[in-house]
Amino acid sequence: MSRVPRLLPAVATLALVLASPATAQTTANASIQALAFVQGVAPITATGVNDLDFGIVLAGTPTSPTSLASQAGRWDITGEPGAPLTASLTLPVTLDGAGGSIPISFSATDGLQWNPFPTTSTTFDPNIPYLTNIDGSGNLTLGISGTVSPPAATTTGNYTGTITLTVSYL
Amino acid sequence: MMHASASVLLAVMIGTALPYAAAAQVSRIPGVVPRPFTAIAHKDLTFGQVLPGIPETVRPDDVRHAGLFEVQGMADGVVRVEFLLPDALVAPFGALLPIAFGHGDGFADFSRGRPPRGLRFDPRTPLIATLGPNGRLLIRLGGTVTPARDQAGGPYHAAVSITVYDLGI
Repeated sequence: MSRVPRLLPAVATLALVLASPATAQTTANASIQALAFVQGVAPITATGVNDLDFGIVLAGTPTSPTSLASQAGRWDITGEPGAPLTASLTLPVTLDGAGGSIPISFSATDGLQWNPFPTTSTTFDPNIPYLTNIDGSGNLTLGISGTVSPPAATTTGNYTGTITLTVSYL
Repeated sequence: MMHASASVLLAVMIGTALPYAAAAQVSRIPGVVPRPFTAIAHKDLTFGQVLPGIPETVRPDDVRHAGLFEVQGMADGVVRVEFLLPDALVAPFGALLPIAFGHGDGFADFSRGRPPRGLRFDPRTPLIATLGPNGRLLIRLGGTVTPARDQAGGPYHAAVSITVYDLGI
């Protein structure tokens, strides 16, 4: 008896593999810098370093600072060495406090340019724009004095105001 | 564009039975794998030393000073490029240096070499362009800075960006 070869059962395997669709990126971004170096003047800055302080003032008595070095207002300015500039002051006409207001005034010699601070100063009229120069080291110190004239019946208390300096290159 | 691929594995026992012998036929449907779509920042836009009161211009075909971007994607793909441009460069201490971009300050460079060859465009408006047969596009950027007479000295900088949209083929 012969053996009839048998076909081995067919084995079929179907493997259906769906690859994930390749997701295409639809946007992209990139950045660069725009660069320049300006061969220009140094930036000009002004910093208030001392308030104009009249101290204790008697009602009915006009009073000005006795020590300009310690009581006068003062700003430090920096900028291009030797550069000319103009300085303008916004000056109050009164100081305000609990008892109302008291008059303040500035004469033609109440503006100060220190050369240097605190030893030597020259005066200018703070009521009009002042033309001067930054020194060779890029610095300038300006100051302000003034006179307060509280009326005789002024209420006791503190009285304050704001003085603004604006400097700009010519 | 969506792509799918499928593999079919078919194993069949064929012919006179040979135990453990099998013939396998594999067919595979090829899929298209898209090239990565990227935007590359290659070079800053550099004006160098600028004098107060004197405008300084960089031409977009100035390979030394013009800004340079590259877009990479599918060969002959179509893209839309949009610039985000500053109005001024800024110094560390806050001073501003005005900068302007106008007609012809953009350059789509098709030469891939020196001297650059291509088309000038206005970077303030979107650019529709085709990537080259190698799937690449170079984009150069010029501009003009206008320092004031009393412009403060020092370094100034600002960012310039592009957004690129793949519009397909």
